[in-house]
Amino acid sequence: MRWSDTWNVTTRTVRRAPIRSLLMGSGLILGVLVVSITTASGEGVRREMASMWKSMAGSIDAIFVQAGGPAQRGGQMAHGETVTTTLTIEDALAIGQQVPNVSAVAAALMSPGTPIEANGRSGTAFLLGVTPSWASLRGDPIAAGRDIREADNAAMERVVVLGSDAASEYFPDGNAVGQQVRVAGATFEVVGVHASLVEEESGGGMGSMGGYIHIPLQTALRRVYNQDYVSTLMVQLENTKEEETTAVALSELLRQRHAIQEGEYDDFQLTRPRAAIAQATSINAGIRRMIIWIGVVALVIGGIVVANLMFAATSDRQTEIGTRRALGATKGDVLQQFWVETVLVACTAGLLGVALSYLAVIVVPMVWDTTLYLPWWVAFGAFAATALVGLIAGLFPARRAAAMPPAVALSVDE
Amino acid sequence: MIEMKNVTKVFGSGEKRVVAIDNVSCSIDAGESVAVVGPSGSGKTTILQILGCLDKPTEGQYVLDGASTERLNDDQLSLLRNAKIGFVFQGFNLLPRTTALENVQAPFLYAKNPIASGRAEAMLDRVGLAHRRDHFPNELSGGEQQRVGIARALIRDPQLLLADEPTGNLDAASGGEVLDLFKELNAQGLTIIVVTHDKNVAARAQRSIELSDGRIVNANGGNS
Repeated sequence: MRWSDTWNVTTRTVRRAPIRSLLMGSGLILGVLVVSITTASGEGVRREMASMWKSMAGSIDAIFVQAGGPAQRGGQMAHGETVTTTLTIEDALAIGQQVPNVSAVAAALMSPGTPIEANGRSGTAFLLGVTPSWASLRGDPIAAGRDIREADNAAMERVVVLGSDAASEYFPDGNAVGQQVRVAGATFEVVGVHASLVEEESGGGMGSMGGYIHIPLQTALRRVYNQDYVSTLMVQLENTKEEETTAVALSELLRQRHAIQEGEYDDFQLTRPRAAIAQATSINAGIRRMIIWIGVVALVIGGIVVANLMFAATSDRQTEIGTRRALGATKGDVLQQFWVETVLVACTAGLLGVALSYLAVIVVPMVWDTTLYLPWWVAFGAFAATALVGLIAGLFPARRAAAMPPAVALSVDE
Repeated sequence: MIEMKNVTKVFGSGEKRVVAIDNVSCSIDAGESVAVVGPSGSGKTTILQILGCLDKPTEGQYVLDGASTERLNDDQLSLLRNAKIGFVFQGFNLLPRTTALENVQAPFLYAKNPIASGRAEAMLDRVGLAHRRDHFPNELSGGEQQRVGIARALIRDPQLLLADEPTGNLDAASGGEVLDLFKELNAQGLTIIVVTHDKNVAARAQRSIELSDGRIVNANGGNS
């Protein structure tokens, strides 16, 4: 029997008995749905976290060092304002030179609520004195003008780059570049405006940092605040797999540089976006793994259902089998027909399951507040699993159909 | 054309041993029309299955078209059925969910060569059902189904047409049409063997072979 004929005959059978085929494959459809949706929800949470971190921190392939450790924070609670003065630009240089697996270090001085005046308006902004690498490591896109440059930093220039929110607040006409802004009492020239990140727009309050302004770090340290300590270091990693080891080395170097004794608390705090995301997603990982196993069991049971119904079909279709044999079908022809038919039913169910899964990925987030993301390889894997189930489930019924002696198959009364 | 030499067919073994055909010898010439008659359980169906290469004799020799079938394996027998034998069934046995035209084309699924275009349509026209080509079996009357079955049996230009109670499920008028069609085909040289217990059907064959308890009890020249 030619393959094209087998294809025609089997698709005909499946197409002309759609309800039977659908019922047969229902277990497989369910299995694919369970596996896909569960994976999609896990992947959705991971991506949502990553995008949240990206919009807040700019990069998730970095370790952030914040001035102030557990000791200081305790003091802050009890005695009011305490500022940690130990984290410096020299620390940043030392990290860049001595800690392995570090590709770049950026430093920032952060000052929320800095008074601003421009274009006849006044208010406050989140001021960041930054090294030129800060914006490039974060990947903040430039909408107009340019970013802070090394020369600005070295010469302690009074230049400012506005975040998208600040720009639209003070310069709603969009002509900010070249204008003057008063920051903390000093006059700065606007040299650039950042574009707003897509994540920020949708993220709203928590992720939005659009109300910030950037000035060169040295300008902030020497000309605005007259201090030598910074708030945060962004330590970009070369290889994120060695994040853990790098964090330990970083910690040790800072403790040594800050002369912290054994048993004393750190005066800094490390934030690791990747570790945080992993922790947040691992909470549900156990449950998710269990549901995926349920999906796998559903696929196996779906396969057993298919095999059973095909076995029943070989009995119901004895006359068809006998007739085909009389018309000249060999055992191989019958085997091929029934096997391909089962695989076809399974694959159709698999495709339907994948289609329904993608539909669910679109529809479910409209109803519930959740993010679903179905990677293509999961969908493909689930489909491939149904094809495999079809191959296994179809073999035995097909062999039984082929082994039926034609004389016996034909003598059955319907 | 056909020669059976001391053919015996035994089913089961031990106490359940049943001899369906007991040492039967007969020969049928090309172009003959023969009725095999006898009460149920006489071995009619078994002999038809052996003639149709659907089953093999336990003992004895069956020669079809000058070639012994003894040593043929299952695949070779399938090929033989496909190329040389047309089957007409009592229950029509049209493939379900398959149109009249597709049913007529079906034997070519198992043939080495593909069907010539228009051949199945012409065959349906030959049995007067060109207008029903796209109908499914359950949309056809019994008589129409049997005519589709005959068109299917003829599509490969067989040398032998085997019919098992071809009018058993039909009313007198439809049955008459089927028998008329057989007569026409026989007149064109097709060898036809009809198994029946209906005396009127048997009477239309050139001769009949009567079976009882697996033996030929009467082989005569018939009434024609």
